[in-house]
Amino acid sequence: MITIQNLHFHYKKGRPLFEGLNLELEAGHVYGLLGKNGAGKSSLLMHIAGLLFPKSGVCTVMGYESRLRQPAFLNNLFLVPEEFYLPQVTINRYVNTYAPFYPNFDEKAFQQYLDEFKVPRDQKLTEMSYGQKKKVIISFGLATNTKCLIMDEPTNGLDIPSKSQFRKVIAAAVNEEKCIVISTHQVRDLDNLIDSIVIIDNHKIIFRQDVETVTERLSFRSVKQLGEAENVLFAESSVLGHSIITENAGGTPGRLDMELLFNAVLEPSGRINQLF
Amino acid sequence: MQTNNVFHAPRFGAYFKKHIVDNLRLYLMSLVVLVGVLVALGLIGIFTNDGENIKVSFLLPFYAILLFGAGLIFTGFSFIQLGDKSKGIDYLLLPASHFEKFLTTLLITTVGFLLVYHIAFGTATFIGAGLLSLSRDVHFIDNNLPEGDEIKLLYHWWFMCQAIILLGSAYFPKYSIIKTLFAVFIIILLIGLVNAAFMNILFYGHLTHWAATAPFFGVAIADHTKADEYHSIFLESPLWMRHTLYFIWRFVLPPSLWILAYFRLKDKEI
Repeated sequence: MITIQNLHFHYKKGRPLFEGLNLELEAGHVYGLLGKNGAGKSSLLMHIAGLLFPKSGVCTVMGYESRLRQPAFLNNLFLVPEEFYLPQVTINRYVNTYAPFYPNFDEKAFQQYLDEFKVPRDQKLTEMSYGQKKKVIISFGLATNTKCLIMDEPTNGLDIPSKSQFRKVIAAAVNEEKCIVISTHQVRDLDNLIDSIVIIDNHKIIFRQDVETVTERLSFRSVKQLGEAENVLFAESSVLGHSIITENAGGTPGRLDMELLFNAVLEPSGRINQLF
Repeated sequence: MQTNNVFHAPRFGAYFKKHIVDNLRLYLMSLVVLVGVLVALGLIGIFTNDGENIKVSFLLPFYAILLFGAGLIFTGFSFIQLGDKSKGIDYLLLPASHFEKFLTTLLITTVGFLLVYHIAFGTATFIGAGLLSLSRDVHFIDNNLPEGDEIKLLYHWWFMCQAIILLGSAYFPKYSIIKTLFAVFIIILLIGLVNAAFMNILFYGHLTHWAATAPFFGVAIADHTKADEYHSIFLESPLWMRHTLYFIWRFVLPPSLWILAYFRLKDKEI
């Protein structure tokens, strides 16, 4: 679905953002794109959407080169940007003017998503808070039924109940034909939502694994004393004790602590990466 | 069915409609302001004129100034959304081709503007003439209308300027008019300097002044044949060359600048 080959990109010469980045994302998955501030998460999404052009390398989505922004590509891709724009019109007028460009737009599903988010349909977009507007654009993006749905920090600006509503609507929208990529630095918001993890750091993709594979090979748990566990691959201390990662000896998938995994993958020793 | 990625009439229609719906309020307000300004300017001019009859030719300077002023300001806002990240994303990712988006902008800033401008000018003239005949029993008379060639020349200049501003708007979405005028000034200055440098090399010691050259038109040289008198001769470029350049200026340059603006839009990043 999404293929990025040997991507090189910089905003300023001598300060590369991507150097030979390769990535392959398939339909039927919800990918979580994680990375530190400034690692290039948003820039990578912009490349996928054709809003930034590679200095060298190729980025294709559904066989279309993103940078050409052809209508056949655009009507099967929807981006929910971190900073988004909605015109000063009612929701109905917004739908009437934008939906004709998306051949698979589902009006009924759009209403269901709005209902789930508790956004009144008759309200003007100008009268809405940032969080409500975000819910409208997320609902619209999901209702377009594009094969590729990209979201950049979609949970920013959403209150706590809305974050669980968000997880619910995304889970309902997933199907075998759709590839959803969600970028965030708030990894806990993606708990139980994504099925694949992509971590970007140091100009490259440094980790890309299915959640299932990760939980089969690694065990995430909390202990009072570090001595209680053997072969600790990574540990983080807190007031309540220690969160640790060990090898999953039994191979039975357990729970995933995404924040702990993220910090472990970024550790210079690279011990986690060696296991995959 | 294979999607046409360059032009598809229903998609173009949907995009054109979306553009009008999104900007309708702004366009209507601009129209009201334009009519208001035209009526006000016309009335000020008329009431400071004591004649019993007002000639239609009296309106022409207003017509020309506002045609250029309003038209070029309007064109300058063509790609303003690209100066804002979130609006730019919305614009570039809307599933219509670059050609359809560009064609919409081109049609609205040329055909659309000229149509609305003439309706506004006609309305303003009608209102002004009505107010005038009510207050002073003064009437417009139809004489001294400009020649067809003068109007043609006016429109050639207008299309040329429109194309320059449209290209500038694609390059500089923010403050496009100021930046474009500055760029035009720099380009004219560079052409003038390069031309002067070449002419000084070619006519070394014969130019009346180092800058006595008019790019594409000719050069002023000192005539030394009569020792007791000082003459200067303006050597013109061949007539065929000037005609060719004039033809290019009128008919080739504006479409070329539109094409450049289209390709600039295609290459636009956020």
